[in-house]
Amino acid sequence: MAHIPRMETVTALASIRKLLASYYPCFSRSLSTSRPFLSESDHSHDKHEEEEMVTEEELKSSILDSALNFVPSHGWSVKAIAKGAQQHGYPGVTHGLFPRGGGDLMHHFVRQCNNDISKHLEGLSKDTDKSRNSSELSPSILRDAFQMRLRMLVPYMDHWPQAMALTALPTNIQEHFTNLYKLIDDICYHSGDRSVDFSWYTRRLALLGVYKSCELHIVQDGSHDYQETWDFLDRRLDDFTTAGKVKEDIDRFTNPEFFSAVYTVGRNILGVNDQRR
Amino acid sequence: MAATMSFTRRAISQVFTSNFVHCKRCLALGVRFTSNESKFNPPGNDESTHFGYENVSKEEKTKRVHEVFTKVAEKYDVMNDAMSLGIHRIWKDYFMQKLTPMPGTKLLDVAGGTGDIAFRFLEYMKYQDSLELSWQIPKKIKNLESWPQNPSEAEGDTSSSSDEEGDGHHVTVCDINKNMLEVGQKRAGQRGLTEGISWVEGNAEELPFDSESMDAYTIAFGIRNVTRVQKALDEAYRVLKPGGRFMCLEFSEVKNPLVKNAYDLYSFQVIPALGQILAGDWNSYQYLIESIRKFPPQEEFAYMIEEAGFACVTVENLSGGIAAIHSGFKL
Repeated sequence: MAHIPRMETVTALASIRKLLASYYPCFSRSLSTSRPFLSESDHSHDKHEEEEMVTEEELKSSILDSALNFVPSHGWSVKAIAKGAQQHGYPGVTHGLFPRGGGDLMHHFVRQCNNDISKHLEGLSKDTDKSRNSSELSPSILRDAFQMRLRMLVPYMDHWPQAMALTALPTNIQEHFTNLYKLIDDICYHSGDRSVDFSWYTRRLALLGVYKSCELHIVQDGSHDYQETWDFLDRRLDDFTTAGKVKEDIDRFTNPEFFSAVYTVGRNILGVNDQRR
Repeated sequence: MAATMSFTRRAISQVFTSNFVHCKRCLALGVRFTSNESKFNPPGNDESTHFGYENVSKEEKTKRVHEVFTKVAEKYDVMNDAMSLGIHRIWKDYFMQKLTPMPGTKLLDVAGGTGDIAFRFLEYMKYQDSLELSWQIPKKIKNLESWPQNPSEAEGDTSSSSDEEGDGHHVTVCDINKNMLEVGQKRAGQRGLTEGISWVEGNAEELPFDSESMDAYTIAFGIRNVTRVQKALDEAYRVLKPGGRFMCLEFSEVKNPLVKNAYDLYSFQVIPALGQILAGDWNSYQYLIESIRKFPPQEEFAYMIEEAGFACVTVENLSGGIAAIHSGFKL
């Protein structure tokens, strides 16, 4: 540590890092992302002892996990993260590891929830019938998946509006949509969607609308066990299924032959179709 | 997305053109070879270092830096305002905001002579206390009529506005120069900030504090005056508790060529003249601007911080690179 590195090595390393940073923005934020270091349980600098090496990512993850315990009292904020860090024996200023503050905490929570849902759905779809065609989504799996995902918000319901407001911040928007897309994609896939046409997009968009409207409903729902929200969810999913059927009907009627047939009938009615006269 | 790509292409081409113009030996990725050969000590020579554009021995440098700050101590703040047109206040405010100290933080401000960072810390903690008592987000979004119309009518429990452990925040200002500390103490008296602050005379290379005793270590516009920068970084690592944060605000390299030209012109023509007029001392301010040029640029200093053992090292440029905030954690 005492020796000063040769100038050429340092500048070479620095320019490599700079090059990487310009192509991969993740490098410009933190110059060493997967560097192992001593865990907080071993502060002694005795190198002969067995050291528990944790990576930075694991440590950040565990601080955010502890911080979640403080969300009911402090909201999705830097204060909650500082308290979480203090639980790990670190001073409050360690919240600086998370430059987006409450946003980082919220994203961590959302990612965790989405991972749990994915695992649950993977387990489910192994058991169900695989021979479903792509034009139908199993409504029961959809309903259960949405309900399960919304129930994960229940412990943090008091401060969830704050989290929703945080997703509107420019630093959080991108990750918010990425997480949302992954969630809807998983739910759609495991409910049986194997479509390869435009309905891939329309289904996910429609389910996104369903999810978001239910989320908005649940934060202001005061009924017992959120029963009104589950009824609301059922109604939205019915709309979704009906819309799917309507779309098929529309498809049947929007091919060119149909339009030419309508045109001919119209001309016949008006009496200007003089082909047979 | 297209704008980002063209920007990175321009940035890369800027790096490469400057390489090919100046560089004698280029690796495939383009080693940036600066024309200032003596930026670091030549390998094997531990005796001499730079004092501005001069080469001096290390003991000499410590002595001469001490002299410079003894001379400028009285007029230090006036000169800061004049030279940076008051922008240094914004930099320091942002620096403290970035740290966002929590109640109970023990801060060590090194080379903090006249107390700018320390005062900001104390005022931030006072502000945080008053913030706790103000409006909290309502617990449930029902009955919109019951939302408080006005922050002073907040209902519902405001969660623990005073922390159980008591607010034991403290800032220790450490500086090698007694005159700077005296000016700082006078200013503290004037502002009424006497609680929670202590003034210690010490060398950044050998801090008179116990290991693992500080939550956060800040050094604003001081590290370029330290003779052995790596040693100061090692000392910072030593005194910080695990999880503690190292933050450094310092002048750095301006990348943008337009801003760089204007900045160089201003630095070399205006600042020493201002120093002569306002403080009667041309040479000290000549040293100041030369020392800025000799200090390593952002990435290299970040590398040095990593060498000292800090993790999650990040750099943020202020005012286009005129100043930069380096931050690292002892994890």
